[in-house]
Order: sequence, then structure tokens, then C-alpha cells
Amino acid sequence: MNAYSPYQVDLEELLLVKENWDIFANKFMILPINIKDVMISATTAHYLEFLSKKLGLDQNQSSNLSRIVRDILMTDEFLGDFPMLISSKLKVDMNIANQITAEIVNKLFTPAIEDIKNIQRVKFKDRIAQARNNQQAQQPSPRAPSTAPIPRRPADLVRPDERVQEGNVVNLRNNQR
Amino acid sequence: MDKGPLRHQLAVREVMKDRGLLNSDEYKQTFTMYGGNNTLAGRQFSKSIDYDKLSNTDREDWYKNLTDIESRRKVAEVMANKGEFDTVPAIQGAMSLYALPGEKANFLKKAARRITDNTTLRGIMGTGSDQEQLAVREILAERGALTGAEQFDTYSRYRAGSKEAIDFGAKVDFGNLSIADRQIWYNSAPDNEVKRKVAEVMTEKGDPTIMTAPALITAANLYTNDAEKIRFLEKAEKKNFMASIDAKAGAINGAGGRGLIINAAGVPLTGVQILDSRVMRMRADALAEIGYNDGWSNPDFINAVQAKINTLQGSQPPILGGPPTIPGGPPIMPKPGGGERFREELQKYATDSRSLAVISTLAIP
Repeated sequence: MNAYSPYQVDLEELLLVKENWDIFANKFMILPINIKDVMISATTAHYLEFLSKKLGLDQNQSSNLSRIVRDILMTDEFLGDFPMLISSKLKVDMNIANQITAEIVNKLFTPAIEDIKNIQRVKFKDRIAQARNNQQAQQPSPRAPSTAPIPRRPADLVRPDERVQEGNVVNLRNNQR
Repeated sequence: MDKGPLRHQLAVREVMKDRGLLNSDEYKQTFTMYGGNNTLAGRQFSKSIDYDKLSNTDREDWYKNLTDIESRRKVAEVMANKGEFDTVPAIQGAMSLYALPGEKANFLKKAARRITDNTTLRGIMGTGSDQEQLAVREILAERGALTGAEQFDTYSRYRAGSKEAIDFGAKVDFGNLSIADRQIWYNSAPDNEVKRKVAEVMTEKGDPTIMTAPALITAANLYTNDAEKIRFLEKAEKKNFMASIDAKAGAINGAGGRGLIINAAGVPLTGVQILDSRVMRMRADALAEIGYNDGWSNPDFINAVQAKINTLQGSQPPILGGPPTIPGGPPIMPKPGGGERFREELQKYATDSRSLAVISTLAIP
């Protein structure tokens, strides 16, 4: 099986246990077609292979990257946690994790991004609402506007949950920088 | 029209009647001037009136007061068409104007259609002659107010194979019947046209009794030409793919032998050959949606899909990737072959986890 393919990375193990396979397959079958396309496409596997080699990831890291992509596409993980998951599971620093996130979101997820955001909104509505509240709480009061410019933080310093904005699961503009 | 000798007055009134210029009272006066019910002239005049153009009250007066049977029938026909007999006794009273069962039934068919209460109609569906009962049952059937058994009972009352029987059978909504009722129709209907219609609905619905190769062969043989048999069996594919393929190989062809799909040399194809050829022509979404028990659990079916993947991968080989065309640019990404793309499509459209498991293990050469 192809370790670079989000669909195939654990396929052999999944097929060994019927219960596990049914859970995976039943989740996969109800995904929007665009998301399935990203998940099974050979182009995705080729791209993740190219990216892994470019970043010098070993086999284990590459497999984990495929798993993270799979889990996000299947809404087992929150898209806002993408950089943090990459950083923790691939054991790379947040700078690289943010780069990888941006590459994958821009290069792989684009054809399915609306569907991804829609299903993420349904699954993680509480986290999105919480992130929105946090964001509002951090905004300065309109009665006492600060005249001093707000310093821009580098993307890697922005916490993943701060990336969530109303109507948009992930602030893709941050990722595109 | 009121002056001069009687014959002149009547002549003028006849002309006015033809031109539609007589009012209600003038019709009655003229009828009386002719001698009313007691004279031939009066009866002829009453038969010549266009009752359709009168008010319903006037029609009812004429219907009550006329004694000539033919004239009363004429009024009654108009009243029946306009729904002016609104009770069963009124309809039955008017039916007494007719002697022949067929005439009574025809009148009933028109008059009873205006009775909107099905319970009232059901009360008379078992009374009178067979034709009268059929007239009421046809109305109830059109309104969907007969059970499956009552519909079959109604159909059985027609002469087997008659136009009326076929017409009635053609109007039955077999899709709304229970599986058991459809089975009764399929087993017992004497004419093939009705049987074919039931069989088509049974295959569309996937009724278990018809979704086997032998039962599909029997049903396919109800059609006379091979194209119709194939069309019928291809409809059955959606509910039982493999049974439909086997039936194509087993049904009787135009030459009297077995096998509906014939190669260029005129030799009927075997089941496996039909399967290969059918799978080769099918799109991935249609193949993926075939049920597990009806296809994806069958080794012949899996082999046929694998053969298609192999063929596609051979005819549309993958394109290898390459180094960047410009220094520092992205490399040329490899492109999957036709077989791999076809398997991806199958995976996308699978609707059963067991089928998806089989699809996921199909090999890419």
C-alpha cells in the first residue's frame, strides 16, 4: 500500500478487521465527492511524496502526514489544528508545520475547500464558536480605540484556534503568506 | 310566433328552436301546442330539444314530466354528463330507462363518475349485472380506491385477452400494490401484455420472486423480440446484476436457441463473456453502485472489473513525473494511468462498505 496516499496509508490494517473497516468505509462513503477525490487521487499521493522528499521527511513522518491529511478530510481532526498536528506528530517546528499546512491547503485542498469547510463547521461548531468568542474578547473596546498600530505577529505565532473566523473555518489568508 | 294559424305558429317556433331563440317557457308552450306527451309530434319535438343548453332546473322538469322513453334518455344522458344525478337511487332510477345491460352500464359509467364519495360507490360495486359492477369498479380503480385483490378480481371479470381486460390492466399502478398482490397478477394474468407490465415493475422494485436468473428468463421470454428481452433484462440489472447477466445467456433468442447476446459470427455469448462485455461498457459510477450480493461478492464479476482496469491501464498508461523544467520550479508530477483512475472512480461511487473493500484491493498492473 502507498504510504503517501491518505486513503491507502492504513488500508491493509483497516481491511484486516471488519469492524474497523466498516467504521472507516461508512465515514468515507458519505463524504462529498470532491473530498473523496482529494483523498483517493493518485495526484494527492504523488504530491505528498514530492512534499515529503522536499522537506526531507522520513518514511514514518511521511505516513503520519498522510494520516493527518486523511483525518482532516474525514473530519476526525479539526482543520484549525492542522499545523499543531503536523508539528506534534511529525516532530517538526511550527515554522515548518505552518509551511506544510499552507502547501497542502493551497495545493491539495483547493478543489474541495468549500466542502471541507462545510463539514468542519458541522462537526466542530462548538470549537468554532469558542474560537470566535476568544477572538472577540481579545479585540480592543470600541470606546477606547488605541491609536498605536497593532503589531502583526508572524504566522507561526498565531495559535491555531485564532485562525478560525466567522464563516471561514480556517483563515486561509494567514496560510497563504 | 303567437299569431296566425297553429301550423304557422309551430313553423315559426321550429325555426326559432333551430336558431336557439326559444326560451324555457316557449319550449314548454311549443311542446304543449304539439299535443305534449300524448302525440307523436309532441314526442318528436321533445326529442329534438338541445337539453344541453337548458338550465339544470329546466332539465329536471323535462326529465320528470316527459313520458317518452327516448326523450327521457336524452335528458338523462345530459344530466348524467353534467353530474346532476347526485345520489345512487337517482342514478338507478335513470338506469331503468335502459333495457340492455351494456346500455345501463354505459349510463352508470357516466353518471357514477360524478359521485365523489367512494364509500357510496363501493356500496354498489357488487350490485347489478357484471357490466354495471365493472362500470363502478373502473371508476373506483381510476381513483385508486380498489385494493390489489379487488383490482385483480375486476380484471378477471373481463373476457381473458379482451381489449377491455388489457386496457384495465394497463391502467393499474402496479408500483403501488404490495409484493404479494403483484405476484398474484404476475402468476394469474392470462395475457402477456399485462404480465410484462407487472414483471417490469417487479424488477424495478426488486421483488425477490423475480430477481433470480430462472425467473428473469421466464419473464424475458414474455417478450417477442430479442431487443425487448435485452431491454427488460438491463432494467433488472439495477436490482440484481449477476442474475440479469445469467438471464441474458439463458433466455431464448430469436433463432429459438439460448443466449440473447450474439457475436459477429452469430454465436451466442456465454454468461462470462456477456459479463465481460457489459462491464467493459459500463461507467464506474454504475458499476460501483451494483449491490454487494448482486455483483461485488461474485468472483466472475470481480475478475471482469479487474480485466477492465488492466485494459484501461494498458491503453492509457501512466505518465511518469520528471525533474523541474525551470531551475527551482516544481517537478513534473506523474499522472495515473486509466486503470488507476477508473479504480479511483469506483472508490468514489461505492455505496456498500463490502464493495468498497473489494474495490480497494483491485490491483493496478
